[in-house]
Amino acid sequence: MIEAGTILKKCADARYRNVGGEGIVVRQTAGEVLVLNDVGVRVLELLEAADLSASALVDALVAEYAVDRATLEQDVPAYLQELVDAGVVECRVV
Amino acid sequence: MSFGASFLRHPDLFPARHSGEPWGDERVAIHFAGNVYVWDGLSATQAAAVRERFGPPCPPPAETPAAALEIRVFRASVEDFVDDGRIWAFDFDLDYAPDAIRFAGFRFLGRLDWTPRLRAALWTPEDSRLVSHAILENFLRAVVGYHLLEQGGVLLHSAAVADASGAYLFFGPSGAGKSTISRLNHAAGRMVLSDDMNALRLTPEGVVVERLPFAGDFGQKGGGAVGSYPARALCRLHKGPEPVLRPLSPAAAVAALLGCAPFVNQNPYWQDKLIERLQALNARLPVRALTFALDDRFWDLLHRGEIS
Repeated sequence: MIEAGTILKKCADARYRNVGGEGIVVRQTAGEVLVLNDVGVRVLELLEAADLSASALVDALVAEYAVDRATLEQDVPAYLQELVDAGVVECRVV
Repeated sequence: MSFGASFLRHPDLFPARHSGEPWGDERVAIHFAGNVYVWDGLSATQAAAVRERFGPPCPPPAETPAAALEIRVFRASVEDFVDDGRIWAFDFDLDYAPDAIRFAGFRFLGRLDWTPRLRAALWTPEDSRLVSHAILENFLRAVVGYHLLEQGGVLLHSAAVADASGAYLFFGPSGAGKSTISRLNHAAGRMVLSDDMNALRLTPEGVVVERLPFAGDFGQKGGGAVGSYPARALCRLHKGPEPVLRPLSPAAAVAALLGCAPFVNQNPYWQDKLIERLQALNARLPVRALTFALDDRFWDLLHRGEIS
């Protein structure tokens, strides 16, 4: 379960590319291709630069999107869990 | 399992160069998709089998074709290969490097190198079974995938049907309906270019579909000659109760195409180039999602360009 302090990183075998504001993600090992919305792309961009906690990701998204913090704090962990389940992002073992 | 381990006794002894003992002195040129693929070093048996499988060379294209791509064929020892009782295996292992790809499959090894130029080599212990067991064709399909991309085109796992206005391409994973749509259209008297694999090229005049000699389960009974056809529609196929045609976002379109661009789509060194090509293709001829109801009602939608 993703919590505020959970540290996340982009999976090494997930390569992505921004196409028209959405993201195409290729999972090399599984041979899968996924499409992410603009928030998913931004999350991957942030995690490519550094491993971040879920709360740090919320902080970054609050600054960039016209959505209130409370909504993001509710929605982002669930979305991050979807990305983990899809094999695009993983929780870093501390 | 590591590269080649299920096929080769000594994967670490994989040839590093295009060298070895050729099977013979025969050369056979296969013309298609505006290119010439020259098989060099064949035995007389192999050469005869290639000519029988691919038919006589196509008439020369109107414009000068790109330089021929030579594929050299060398002998390998049957002792180089794992003998686990399998009579045949269609799959093969691929190993990607920045400037080469290695192939290991049932009774063959292959290399595709692109420095200083694109060239290919195949090693096999099979003489008469080089063609009958699809060793040559499997390798050629992969070579064509990379060669086309290098030349401004793309290979797509797809069915293509042509009428007087041009070619309509239907792509999707196994089970999407490519063979069904091919059978229906052949029964209706339309020309099926292929139910398995087609080449697309971006030209100044538009996107063209090049018929290939790889026809899948449908075989070569589709009618029509090898050649180019202007592409009229590019459809990601789905099965459903009613025919529907709808647009796709650029990302969804490119992702769908990427999933059906075989041999290259999992090569991390060529993926960016492939995605750029697919983006350009979608910009010229936008991909649409076609729900196919296992009948020919979809033709009305395609001919009218009717999008839901």
